[in-house]
Amino acid sequence: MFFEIIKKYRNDILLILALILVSASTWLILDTTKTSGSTVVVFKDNTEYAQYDLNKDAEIMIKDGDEYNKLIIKDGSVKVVEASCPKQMCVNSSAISYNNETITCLHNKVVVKVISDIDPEVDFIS
Amino acid sequence: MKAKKITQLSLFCAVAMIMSYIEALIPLPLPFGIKVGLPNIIIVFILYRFGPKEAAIVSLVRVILVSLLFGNAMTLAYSLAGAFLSIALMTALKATKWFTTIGISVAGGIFHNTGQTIVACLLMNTLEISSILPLLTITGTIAGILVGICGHLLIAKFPKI
Repeated sequence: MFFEIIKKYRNDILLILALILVSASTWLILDTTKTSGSTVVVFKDNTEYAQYDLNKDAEIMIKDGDEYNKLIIKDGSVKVVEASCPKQMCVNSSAISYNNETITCLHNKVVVKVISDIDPEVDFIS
Repeated sequence: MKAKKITQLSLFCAVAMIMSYIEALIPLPLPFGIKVGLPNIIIVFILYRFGPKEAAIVSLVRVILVSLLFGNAMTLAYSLAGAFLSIALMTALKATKWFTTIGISVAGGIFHNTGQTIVACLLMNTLEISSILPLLTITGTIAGILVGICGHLLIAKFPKI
């Protein structure tokens, strides 16, 4: 029974394995080429708002009227710990520490991005 | 296109739209709006019963209408990209005649998700594709297998009209 299923869907199983393999290798390549960052850049309403040193522990409050996002820089990584937005997607994002990683708060239009001083202009996505 | 065919396709398009709506009602504990892809059952069915051109038309109409009803211009842009990437790949894979609906819908599912994410990344210029690729592949595979089984049953049991 089990072997019949495998035989019947052999090509499908091979296709699925191939897709997983391609995706896994793409992920590995992207993951191994990433470099750790050194600076945290905060963008607010698409313009640069502030820069912070990633290797210095700090608590930062980004305020705009009633809207706020609270960041914590600790042990070379940055995280959003509190925010006024309804979806809390930025708070649920995990801490970032590598070059070009970002945390976005769509509601407050805040983007927290980690960059490396060595090559800050390179953008892997675009 | 004959009137009968237009009627049938619009009927299936309506079913696919309802599928999108039902899908939107089911909350999944996944980020980035990853979905099961229930409408893909209908698209796979149309791909087999009618052909790639019809599947592309129904998919296009569905994406536009669903985005207008429940989404916004952003969702339209990345849904279109995902839908077309997935239709193109499914058509190509079906033409080889090597795979069943399961393999085809898994490929379609993964590429639908991936296409959407790539366009979302390009538009927002913020997300890192590498961090979500594993999640997209795993969910795409599981959802694709389920959709493939449903599509297979639908193709086998649905009376020829």
